[in-house]
Parts: sequence; structure tokens; C-alpha cells
Amino acid sequence: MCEFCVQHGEGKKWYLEMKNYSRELLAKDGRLAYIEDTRAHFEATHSRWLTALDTVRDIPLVYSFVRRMATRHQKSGHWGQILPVEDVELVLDLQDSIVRLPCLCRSLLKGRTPRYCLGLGVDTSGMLGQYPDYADFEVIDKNEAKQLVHECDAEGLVHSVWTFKTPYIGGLCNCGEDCVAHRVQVKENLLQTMFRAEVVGVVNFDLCNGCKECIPKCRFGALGFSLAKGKAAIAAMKCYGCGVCRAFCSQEAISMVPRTDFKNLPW
Amino acid sequence: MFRRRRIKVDHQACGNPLECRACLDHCPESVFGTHPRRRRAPGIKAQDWIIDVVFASRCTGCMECVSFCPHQAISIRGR
Repeated sequence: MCEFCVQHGEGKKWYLEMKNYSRELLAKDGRLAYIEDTRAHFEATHSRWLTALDTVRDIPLVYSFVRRMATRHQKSGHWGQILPVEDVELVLDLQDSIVRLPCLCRSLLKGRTPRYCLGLGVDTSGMLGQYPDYADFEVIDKNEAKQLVHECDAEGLVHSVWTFKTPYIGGLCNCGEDCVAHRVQVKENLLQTMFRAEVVGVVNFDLCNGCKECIPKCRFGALGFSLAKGKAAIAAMKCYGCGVCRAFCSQEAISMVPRTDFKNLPW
Repeated sequence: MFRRRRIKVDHQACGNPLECRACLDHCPESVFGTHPRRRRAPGIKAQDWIIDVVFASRCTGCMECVSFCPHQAISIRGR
């Protein structure tokens, strides 16, 4: 149970609560303006903040303070959680409108804007239609969205939901290594911007044949090869529960179990 | 923190980074980022994209960006 499940989900998975996608919530607390601002100035804002974080990361006391404040700021504004693909399908079933948007993380770090991101529930035609960069957005239905998510799964991309002023969930990302959140949290360890999934992967050693197909697919450094057993093994402490390794396992040896089955795993 | 490689991008010489992206693609540590200098607004497209040095502390000094830049716009000074 993550912190948000307790606060916003009444003890169940918070991203499966209908109220976190509701129009009433969207209309409150200046969320529309926040979403518009985040989308419109994403690259410039994030480039400035990341440069600043990178500058202070080697000054111990200053950095520990900045890290704590920035994590708190993220948690109230734009926070995410990784989802395995079966939960993504449940989330998509709750939506009445899904829009396919250009990915802004890849725009910032690679200068390319492939359409990998999904806007959930937001009526983007009114808000972002006036921006020429988003003018040709695609409205897709649930089945197309599910197909897209499964294509992304086959590519080895990680799915995550994102809040716009927590707890309103407004986006579903399909991320690779060019994701700003992956970069900041996993690769650079500058601050926390997302929770791990509610599940962790576990290898069934009876089924694993040690083909090592899955090992380079893990983006979080959790999958290793056990020389003693001659099979793949997942470090539960590092596992984000994205389920990418499971998609690449030909023996179906990897299964996802609830994170609460283990003691003291971080979120 | 003060013993850092200083990467300088000459925005005049660089021109339009979205047409070339050589430094973004070739940097093994992906130190660079790109953002529009002129921000988006209703009716205005993002313009004047510039290359920005985002994760400067990750630079290993491999000089890939300097050798791949077609306009010689990037310069790196050592520690």
C-alpha cells in the first residue's frame, strides 16, 4: 500500500478510484491552468530545474535540503506511479476520453516528439487546441489505446500514471530511457518523482531456463543472473514492478506478486 | 562542484538543433537537452530551439559532441 493509496484511494489502489479522474476534481484548485502551463512550458521549465539540481548535487547540506523540498513539491504537483500492463487496461476502462499526445520528455532530452503519451479524461480540444504544437492531436478510443499500450509493452517501454495537482490523474506515459522521471529518479538519483508499482516481479526457478533474454530489458537494474543457479533473479529491493521482463520471458517464468508480500520494500 | 568541465554551446553557430540533433544523439551520458527560447502560447509555435547543457556534472569529457557537431558550436574546457 503506497502513501497515495491510503490518502486518495481508501486503502485500495488509488489509480483505480473513479473520483481521481472526475471532472469536478479537474475544475477545482486551478488544475486546468496548471495542466496548460505544464504542457506548454515543459521543456524550458524542466531544463532550468534540472540544471539547478545538477549544480547543487555535490554540496551535501544544501542538496539534502533541496532534495527534500523538491520531492515534497513534486508530490503535491506532478507525481507518478509505475503500472504493470494489466492495471493499465483497468485504468483505460475507466476513461471516457483518451488523447494521444506528443511525448515532452523525449522532446526535452532527444529533440523528438513521438506520440507515446496518453492524456486521460482531459478535454484537450478546448485547452491545448489553441496551441499550434498540439493542434493535430488524436482522439482515440479504448481499444486503440489498449493496442498502443500493448505495442509499447512489446517494445519494452514502462507504463506510468501521472497526477496534475495530486490526486487528479491526467496522463499515462509509456517511457523508455529518455524519460525525465527515469533520468531524475533512477539514473541520476536526484529526487523522487514516482512510486514503484504495487507489485514486484518474482522468478519461478523451476520454469526459468537461463536464456538471459530478460536481463538487458530491465531499466532499473533489478534483474541479475545468478551464477550459482544458472537462472535469472530479481532483486526485489530494486524492482519497480513494471512487468517488462515478464513480457520478454518465453518460458512465462516471471510473475508479479503484491509488494506487500515482502516486508519493508520501498515504494 | 567547482572542478567541473565547462561545456559551452555557441547558439549563434548552432542554428536549429532540431534539424541536426548530433550532440543529443551522440552523447553517451545524454548531457544535453533542448528547449524553445520562445515559449508556446495560444497561436504561437515553440520557436528558436536551443541546445542546453542540463546534466553538466555527468560529462566524462569523451569529446564525441565536439567531433560530431557539424557547425563546431560546442567547446569543452577541462577541469
